[in-house]
Amino acid sequence: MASELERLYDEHAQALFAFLLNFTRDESDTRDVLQEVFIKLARQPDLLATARDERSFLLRLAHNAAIDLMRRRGTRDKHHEQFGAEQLSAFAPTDDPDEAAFRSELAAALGELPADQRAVVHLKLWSGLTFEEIATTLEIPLNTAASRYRYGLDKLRTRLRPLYDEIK
Amino acid sequence: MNNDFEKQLQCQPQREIPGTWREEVLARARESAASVQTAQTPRPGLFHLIQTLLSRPQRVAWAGLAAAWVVIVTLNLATGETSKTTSMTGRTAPTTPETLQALKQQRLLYAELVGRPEQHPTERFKINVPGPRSQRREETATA
Repeated sequence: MASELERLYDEHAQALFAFLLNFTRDESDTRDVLQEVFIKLARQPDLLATARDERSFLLRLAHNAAIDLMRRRGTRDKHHEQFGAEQLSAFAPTDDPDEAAFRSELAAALGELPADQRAVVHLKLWSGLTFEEIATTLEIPLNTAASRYRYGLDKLRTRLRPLYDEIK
Repeated sequence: MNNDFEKQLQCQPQREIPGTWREEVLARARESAASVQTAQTPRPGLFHLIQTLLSRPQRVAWAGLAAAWVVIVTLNLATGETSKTTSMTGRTAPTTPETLQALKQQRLLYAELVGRPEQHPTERFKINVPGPRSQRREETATA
């Protein structure tokens, strides 16, 4: 089981990290949730036995764990009621000043999106899931997934248009 | 326009997961799984405990103890039967005339001491003869 756990980490931890960092906007929360997912996998080795797609299944576990964390935090600490308060960049640093400015703006714009829209945008753009897969992963209807993406992308475009035109 | 914008966003590389997390996350996950397995292991029952004790190398000691108990129980049963026989014998022993005589004397002595005259054995069974009937009594009175 140890080698199986390592394989799962090597294949999926980066994608889970990126999703969780974008969703929670907090590195320690990201780590806590990632840890929780792998503890669950270690305790229940046959958890993935029925999963059609490992990546989607693990993203769903991570999303549910993050939502649980948000709810727990919501009752404990009013300051962290919603993820996205912290302006943390989920993107790699770059030496190019234009790219750095765009990434910084993009991170800020993503932080302003509601968490449910941010999750859909991330899964569509950076995890490469289809709307059907997103709907399954987030346990929402297909149309809801599509509309959340559209609203989220519109907000990002409005916010980033000046910089985007400049870069283009 | 929309596709270009989406492509531009998709080109933005994500941050790398810190390398130190791998060992820490996996180690904690394994520890947690091990602790759960330990907690779920059933405790040995009484039967299992007895079986373990009997299967240990002190088998000779246990056998000796059992033999000692058998001896004790046998002795106990044997002595119990002897005492029962003795008491039964004492109860059915025939009373000799000397004993009866001594008993009678003791009873008389006791009666003297208490102050109540001891009835003679023959008086004790005196037949109570009924008196004359009332009509006879009248006849007797007139005669």
